[in-house]
Amino acid sequence: MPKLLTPAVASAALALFCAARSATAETKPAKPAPVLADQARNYEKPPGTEPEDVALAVPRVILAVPRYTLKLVFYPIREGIEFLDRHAVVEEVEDVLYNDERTAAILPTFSIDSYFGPTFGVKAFHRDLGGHDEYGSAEARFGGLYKLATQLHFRADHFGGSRLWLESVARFESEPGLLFQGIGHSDASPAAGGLAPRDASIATRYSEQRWLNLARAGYSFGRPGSLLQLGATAIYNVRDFGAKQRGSEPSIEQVYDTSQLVGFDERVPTLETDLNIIADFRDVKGATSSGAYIELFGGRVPHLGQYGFWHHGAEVTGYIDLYKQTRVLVLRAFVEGVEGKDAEIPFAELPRLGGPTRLRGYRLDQFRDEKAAVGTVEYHYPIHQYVAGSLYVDAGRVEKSYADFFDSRWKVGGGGGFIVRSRDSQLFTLDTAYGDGVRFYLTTDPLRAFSKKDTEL
Amino acid sequence: MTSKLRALVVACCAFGCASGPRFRDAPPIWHVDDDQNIPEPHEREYDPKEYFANIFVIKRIDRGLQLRDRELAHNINSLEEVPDSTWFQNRLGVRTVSPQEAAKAANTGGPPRRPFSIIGGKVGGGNPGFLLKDGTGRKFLVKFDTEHNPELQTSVGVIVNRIFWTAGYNVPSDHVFSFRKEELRIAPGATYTNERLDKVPFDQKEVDSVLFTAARSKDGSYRAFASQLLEGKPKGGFSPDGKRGDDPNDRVRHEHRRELRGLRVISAWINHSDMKEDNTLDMYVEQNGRQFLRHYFLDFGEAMDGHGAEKGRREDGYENFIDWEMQFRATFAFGLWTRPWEKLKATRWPSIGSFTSQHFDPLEWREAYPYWPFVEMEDADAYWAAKIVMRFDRPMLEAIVAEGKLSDPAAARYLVDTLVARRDAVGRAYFERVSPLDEFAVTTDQFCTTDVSVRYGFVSSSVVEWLRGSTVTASRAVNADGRICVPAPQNDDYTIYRLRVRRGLDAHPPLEIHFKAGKDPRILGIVRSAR
Repeated sequence: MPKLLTPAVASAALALFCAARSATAETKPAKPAPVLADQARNYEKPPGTEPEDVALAVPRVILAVPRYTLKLVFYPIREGIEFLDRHAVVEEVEDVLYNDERTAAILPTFSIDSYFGPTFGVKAFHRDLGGHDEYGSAEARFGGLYKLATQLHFRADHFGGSRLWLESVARFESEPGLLFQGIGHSDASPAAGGLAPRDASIATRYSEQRWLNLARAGYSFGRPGSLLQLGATAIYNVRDFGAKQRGSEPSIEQVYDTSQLVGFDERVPTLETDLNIIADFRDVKGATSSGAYIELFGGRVPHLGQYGFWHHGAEVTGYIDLYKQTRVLVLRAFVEGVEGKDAEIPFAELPRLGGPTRLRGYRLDQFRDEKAAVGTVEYHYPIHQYVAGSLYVDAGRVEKSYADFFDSRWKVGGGGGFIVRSRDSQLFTLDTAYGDGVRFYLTTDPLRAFSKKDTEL
Repeated sequence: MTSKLRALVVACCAFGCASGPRFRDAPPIWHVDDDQNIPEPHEREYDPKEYFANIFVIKRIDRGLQLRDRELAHNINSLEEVPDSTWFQNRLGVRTVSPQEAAKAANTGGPPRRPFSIIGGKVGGGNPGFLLKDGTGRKFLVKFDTEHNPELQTSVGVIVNRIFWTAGYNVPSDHVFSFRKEELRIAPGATYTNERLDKVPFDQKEVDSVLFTAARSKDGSYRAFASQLLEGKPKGGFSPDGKRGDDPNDRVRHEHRRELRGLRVISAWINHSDMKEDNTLDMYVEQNGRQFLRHYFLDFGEAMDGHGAEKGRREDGYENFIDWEMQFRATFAFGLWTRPWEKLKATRWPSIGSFTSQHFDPLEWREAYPYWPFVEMEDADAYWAAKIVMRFDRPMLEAIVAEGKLSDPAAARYLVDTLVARRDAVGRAYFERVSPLDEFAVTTDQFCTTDVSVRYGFVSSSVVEWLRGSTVTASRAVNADGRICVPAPQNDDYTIYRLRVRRGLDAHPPLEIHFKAGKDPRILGIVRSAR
């Protein structure tokens, strides 16, 4: 076998290999390592730990506890939000609840009252029944304020595209714990039991069952911004009263002599016929910042049985633009009264004050008498595109006659809140008010005492 | 050069300017290789509800509890510049860009050409639109102006696209074009994804619905904005913070990228307040045999007053949509505080809206939706971006604005004037946050620099001080053009000059220049915000 690998051959082979390798290296230089984005600074000696990091080390460790706790708390929220997004849950639910045009829906409703707790319900509505913004709804509620409430409602400011203004309501409601705190303003605190309604202001509760039928027809002049509506309304009410069925305060008969409360002990049917005038000169672009809103009604409850009286009301609200439609001063006054013999005016028909639209800072329907008046000074200022702040003072009083208002001490409530709106309309207000205690209100429009009376649950 | 000054400068170096080298003795890196081959990443989904919950509440609280401190951008080179990458290509920042080049920008073939064929509906975003295939086979996303502000979003979309490109960002090829309704044909199989995420046919009813709210010209034609679909596979927008887990090239947390942080300054200039993940896009592209992600910005039509006009936000550019600080202050100011945006007046052009240079304070500018890189922006990041902004001169801006095809020449002139005025406000504000010394040069016998605030005429004079620690060892006034030269050290030691500018009693924060002089003089590094 020939000896191939002699030293000479080996060195020649090695030389050839090295030459070849060298040639390869020349023609194919080693690929440089990629320049990494975080190493472009060319540091020979990167800066060490920064003094801030040293100083903040201990606080960071301490804050890590709430930080990771919050991460845990937020985890299901984030996951939930992500689920909503990824599966278009809101849109899917909307699709189930609304029609394709988004003009009609069947929606669950929920509200909460700090005294009575949650009220649940369901509402079916259509905002464009006849193609001209005719609104119709059917609604039911239970729990909280109601044992049961059901209502059918129809409203058309321009019925069928005409200038005809039509509205009708049919409602049954059973309220287990309405507030009765005497009539008038007695500050006396006699021992409870057998009191006359004007003897004391003690908070009590009573139940009411009510059938309501309302029909209104009228005519609209002008257009939004300078709108005048003239109409006539007929309201048929049948009320039955009884002892409280809910609420921690005493039942009415435990404190007051209900035989002295007109209408309490028997069924009260009334038919009221009113004339209505609404003049709306508010600006219509964005949030209201100027103009005025005036609402007047007056009419008669004729004697169908033992009850008969006159009923009237007036509300005037003026908006004064203080600065570029963003700072607005609102002045409002309303009066409401019934006229007739005391024995012919059911206690439930007496004008009432207290609550989000009628004297903030006091409980709903805390005051009642034959005459009621409220004055409001309210100031709106901008916070966010869709949120304005408000500061207000309400002063109100109920009395037996208007003459008594001039020598009486008025009830004053004041506070502030937030007005939440969309680009086109006001959505709701959140108010905190102090009168005889701190009250919180969530309402659609605190500056309307009459416009939704008897038409909204 | 006086012998006294020479002695002071030499003394400065002898006593303390020189210390251990921070920078390698190597040329600055102007390109990073973040275009390495990577496996195809998944497509990121944009969940608007989660995104807004994060930026306004959840992450905001978390960031507060993190006690974050100031941090230098992580992707800058030794000269505090941003190297070219898949995120950013240095253009106006480092070279001359002609007005024609700026106006052309990423334009790869002009606006759509007839015949037009609708191939689907637009997905996402607040404005209606559709996908169009033109006679050359290119595909475009088409959007429209609103009825109340004709020409606004279409012009702004194109103008800001050119500005972004010229500054160095990746953008699509965007155009203004017109068509008549009867020129549109619906391609068979055209679909769109509706709000419920169902794929449904895009039919004539949908086209009518899109065009119903679109502004229409007097001759009945529709003026539209067309954005050519990008090459590659879309992989969703890039997160405003953190890194993309499935992209090994993505090595720098996004909130620490200088080009994203500095974008706050550019956005302030043009009021690009609608900065959010939804207006960015990662494309999986193939180039030179490698597949990687390239990062784009898109949808600029809401800059200037586009967002404000569309959303009815007068405070656009002045407050976040939910601005805990400003709106908390407003709540308890009870209306006695007149916020700056309340003084704005709309211009006479609906195509311009309320975009103005009045009451514009770049330092106070705020995007509509908090964007973490903007929140992390440091003065050095802002200075870097302000330098780019200042390089947009009037001829360039005229050429760019012309691309917006505003029908009223007076509106176009106003827009250029406004951009120039806001540009100067940006330069003035951010240059003066640092010692605005730039254009450093070391020769065998001189060390030179320029106070760019003097050069741009923002201030009339300036004194440059040499420091050892915080002790001034030498000082000298700059020339009328802002330039100053002093003798360079005669050796090639690693030298650090610690400099600052002084304007009267106002001493600006110091910076450091690391260099070697001698026979082969070179700048080794800059620390813009020296401690």
